[in-house]
Amino acid sequence: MPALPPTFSASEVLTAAKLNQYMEYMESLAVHQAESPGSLIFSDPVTQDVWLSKPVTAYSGSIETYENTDDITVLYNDGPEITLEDCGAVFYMLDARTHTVSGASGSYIQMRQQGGDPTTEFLRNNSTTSYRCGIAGVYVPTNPGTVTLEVVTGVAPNTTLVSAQRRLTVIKIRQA
Amino acid sequence: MAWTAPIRFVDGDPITAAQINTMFKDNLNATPPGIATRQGRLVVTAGKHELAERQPVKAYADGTVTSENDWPQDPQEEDESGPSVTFEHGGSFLALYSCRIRRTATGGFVNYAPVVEGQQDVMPEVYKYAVRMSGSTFERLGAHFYFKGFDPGITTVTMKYGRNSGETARGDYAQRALIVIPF
Repeated sequence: MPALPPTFSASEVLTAAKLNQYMEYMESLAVHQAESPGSLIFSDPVTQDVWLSKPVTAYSGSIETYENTDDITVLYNDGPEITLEDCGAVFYMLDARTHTVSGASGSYIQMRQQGGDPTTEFLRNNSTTSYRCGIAGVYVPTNPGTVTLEVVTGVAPNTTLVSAQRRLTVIKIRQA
Repeated sequence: MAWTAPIRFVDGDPITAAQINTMFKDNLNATPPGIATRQGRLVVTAGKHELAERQPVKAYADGTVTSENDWPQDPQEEDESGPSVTFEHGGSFLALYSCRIRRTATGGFVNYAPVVEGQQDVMPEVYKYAVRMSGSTFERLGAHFYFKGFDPGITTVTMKYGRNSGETARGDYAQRALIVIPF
């Protein structure tokens, strides 16, 4: 698909071929690409093309109690998880119910690409009071392309933590 | 203006005014600049070869309401219920919500969540995205939910409050904010 509409020169004669270049350009527009309701329209600064992105959400209704008796932080990756193709960055929202049963501070719930680095933001509730709270941010996968994003719970040494009803929603905002 | 799939012109065939008007004028009027009517709106897909404007909406209620009803109900002070928003969508929308919440009497959890008009009886679904609190200290707690699978049209979403898993819990809810981004 041509990224920009063709240009006519001063002495050029209008031909079917030239008009067809315009027709090809029109087929690159978002309205021609649209297939179903609910997609956002994004632009690609390199190709000057447009592409469509629909929010994706995943939920884990389980209530997990993690007891870490080790002297190091242990990471649990019980999800939920979402896989996106051709992904270079996402806007994400993550929330969960959590509380600390016993032990030290330093436990957290956050998102990461499988095998990659986690988000810099995280949920933390050091109190024994249970509640739902959430965060949002932009995440650039360590390895762009086909990306699986997963919610992980890190539990500090000698700590017992409840991590429950985790919800992750992502919108791809950049292609790989 | 509806989109017409671009044709291919052929050398030797006359180019008509109708072709030019359909392929250029009408089709360009179906693109975002052609359908734009107001500042600050999103343009999203609305179907096959169709785009639509969507207006993100926000509502905020500053006052503190108290609820000792079973979940989910309006609080006692009817003039302080909500907030609520009404918006047009194509079948899906994203809700972001937060408020300061505390439990002032034990005997269950206190909860709040945005509830879609006509969906109040779908409690198992609402529980999945409700903000639930069991502490007595005021905390601002927020969450999100991506609603989908609705018929396109105009929908009202209202924040609802109340207790569950008990019979005596009472909650306070203050500075309540509700944002909806329709798709």
